[in-house]
Amino acid sequence: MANEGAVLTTSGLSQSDQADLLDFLPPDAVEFRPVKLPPGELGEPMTAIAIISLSFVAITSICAWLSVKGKGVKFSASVTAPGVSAAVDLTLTNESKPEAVREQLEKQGVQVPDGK
Amino acid sequence: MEPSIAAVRNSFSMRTGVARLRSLPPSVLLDLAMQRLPSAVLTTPLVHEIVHHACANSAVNIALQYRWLELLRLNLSSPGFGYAVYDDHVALAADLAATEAVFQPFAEGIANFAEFDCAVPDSKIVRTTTLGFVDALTWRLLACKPGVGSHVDDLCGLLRKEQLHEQTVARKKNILCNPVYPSSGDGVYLLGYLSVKSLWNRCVESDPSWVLRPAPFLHFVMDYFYEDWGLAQILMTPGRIQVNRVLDRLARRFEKLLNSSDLSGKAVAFVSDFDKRQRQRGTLRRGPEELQHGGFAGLDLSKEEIQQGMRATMFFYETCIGPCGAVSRQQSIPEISNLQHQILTAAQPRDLSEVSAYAKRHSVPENCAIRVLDFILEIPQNKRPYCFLLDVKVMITARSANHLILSIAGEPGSERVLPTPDAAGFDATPRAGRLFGVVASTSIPWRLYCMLMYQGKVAALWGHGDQPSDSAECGKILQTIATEMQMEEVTQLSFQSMNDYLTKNELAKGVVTEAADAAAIRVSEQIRKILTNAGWSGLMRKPGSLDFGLRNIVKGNLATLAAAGICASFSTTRPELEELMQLAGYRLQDALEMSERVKQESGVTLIRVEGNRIQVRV
Repeated sequence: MANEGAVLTTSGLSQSDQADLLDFLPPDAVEFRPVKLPPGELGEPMTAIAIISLSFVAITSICAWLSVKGKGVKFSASVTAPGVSAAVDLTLTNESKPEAVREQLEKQGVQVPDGK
Repeated sequence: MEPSIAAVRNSFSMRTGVARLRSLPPSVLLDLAMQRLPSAVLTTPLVHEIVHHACANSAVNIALQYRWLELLRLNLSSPGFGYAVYDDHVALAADLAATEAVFQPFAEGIANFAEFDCAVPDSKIVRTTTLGFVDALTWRLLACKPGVGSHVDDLCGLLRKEQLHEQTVARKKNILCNPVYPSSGDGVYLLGYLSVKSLWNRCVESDPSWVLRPAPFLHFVMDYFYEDWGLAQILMTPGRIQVNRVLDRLARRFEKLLNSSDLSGKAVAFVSDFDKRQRQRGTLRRGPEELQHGGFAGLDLSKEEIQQGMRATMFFYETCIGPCGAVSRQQSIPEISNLQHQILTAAQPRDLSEVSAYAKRHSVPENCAIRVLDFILEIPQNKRPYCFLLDVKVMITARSANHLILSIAGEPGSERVLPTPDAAGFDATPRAGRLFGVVASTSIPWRLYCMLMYQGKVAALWGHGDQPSDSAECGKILQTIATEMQMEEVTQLSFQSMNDYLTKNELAKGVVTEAADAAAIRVSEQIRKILTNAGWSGLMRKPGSLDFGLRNIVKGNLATLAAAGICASFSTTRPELEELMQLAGYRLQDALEMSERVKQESGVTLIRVEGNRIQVRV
């Protein structure tokens, strides 16, 4: 995955969420980075943060994924983009609309390419 | 609580015995201490972490902890402690991490089996069934929920409700999505779970008279792997840890057990033997119990293996951990004065009461120096029999002469009232304290001791239900907590910081991580081979670029299968299973059709149907 443009970074995703997300996003649009526990610790199953190339297609895919996950689901992410000094925090729900997310990001100076 | 996709990991340190319940906000941890757990909090994830402690309090993990203490002793006694790391210490840390990675699939498999398969008994069977320690744990945690009472049917009903909840189904689905070809210890959950579940499946499928429930069966599996004195002996062979020998023995014993024509007989023999000893006189601590009354039935251990393992463990303690044990061979650099090193290694005068008491406790000969670091290394050993479940920073105020208010700083609404015989010493001014919750995990009845500490002293003390039942045990725990707090204050060290000391160095971290990952890959390879011959060959094939475990062979919603497995822990008869599945929001028929498709496409049997009986194999 090329990271030159804006990227959306998720909080820790479970293994099954990673699998489900890939039903909506092409594998080359996302990179999963495992969050490891320190030596000697046993923890709950592997989590990973997902780093996703930001595009309108990606946002649409994420919204579609969330919409099938059921009521009241919340999802936190942050967006970093060239030329934007601070990361933009994003909270998405199963009711989030791609257009509204794009508008919210663009208001904060993040350009969202259409993508493919 | 709001459902959130962000996965926050609870964890348990096999080295320090401390659980970190990160998925619960501190105010809920307060509720747990007050035995008023909100109904939205699931019980079995807590059981999962406490079961890790049950594994930690075992022959094998004593040996593993001794290896960690050896490393700590070398670190703490090295003249460069605090600013340098040494190659020989890094090599030991890498060995230790690799060995822990070898055990990880089994540790997680056991904890997940406890979480998803161990339903507590209802009144129809409770008088005739054998209980396991997981039953006792689950009952007690369920009883911490408001309004549930203590009738076994109420507790069983509440567990059923929680287990059929979408969050539990999602947790199980997550296990089933773990890779078949993990690249690190963080991905071994499916292989570990299938290992334990395959042992269970083998008993169910091969023994028509099989009646043991999952909880006592799990006790057998846990002891088979973790009370292996032969393995302890390998771990306690001085020098570098022989990781390959550890892996080989563990894998061979697993393979032998799974392929044993008498697996169910071994499990029943172990449970009967354990139960008989408990009823007759109560068992001693593990080790002395085997020494005085012989090894437990069913564990495939000879008397010689037990004796040699114990001897090796004691010898290792004396030569590598205790006051007469080796210290770092590193030379101090004359130009550098390391005050911390001087404090940690200075011989303490024997006429100090604490020092003479230490010498008496450990029978330390006169010619051995007793150092500050010896007191530090004693703490984790004293903590080992207990699971340190809660450690919460709280603000304390007094509401009346016999009521304290505990709250979490910066968390409005977190105030909880604590009735106490004596609230003197507190007023309306908030004072910072620490709340500890400690569990004796494998004992029945299960106990939770809670201690509110303020300025190094006990401000309040309470146990589950009523006052702590065993004052000697409670006194020991209190002493250990107070000593640790004192150590943290005097040395500015914590076990977390000592544990992380080497891996804060990026190079050392790289070496340790690489060793652990390589070991996880090797143990996974062994498990795959063994499971391949146990009916899982269709799943064990190398997938394409994406490896999401059972999703590699299951087309459709894996949650249906996860739910079927959970429901089958309550009943395996078709009409009841159908009803349970419906309650969970799924259809048994969908799971059966999914299983049939997988059987045709990959040859793997996920669900076995025999007349009216349905066995979900995952």
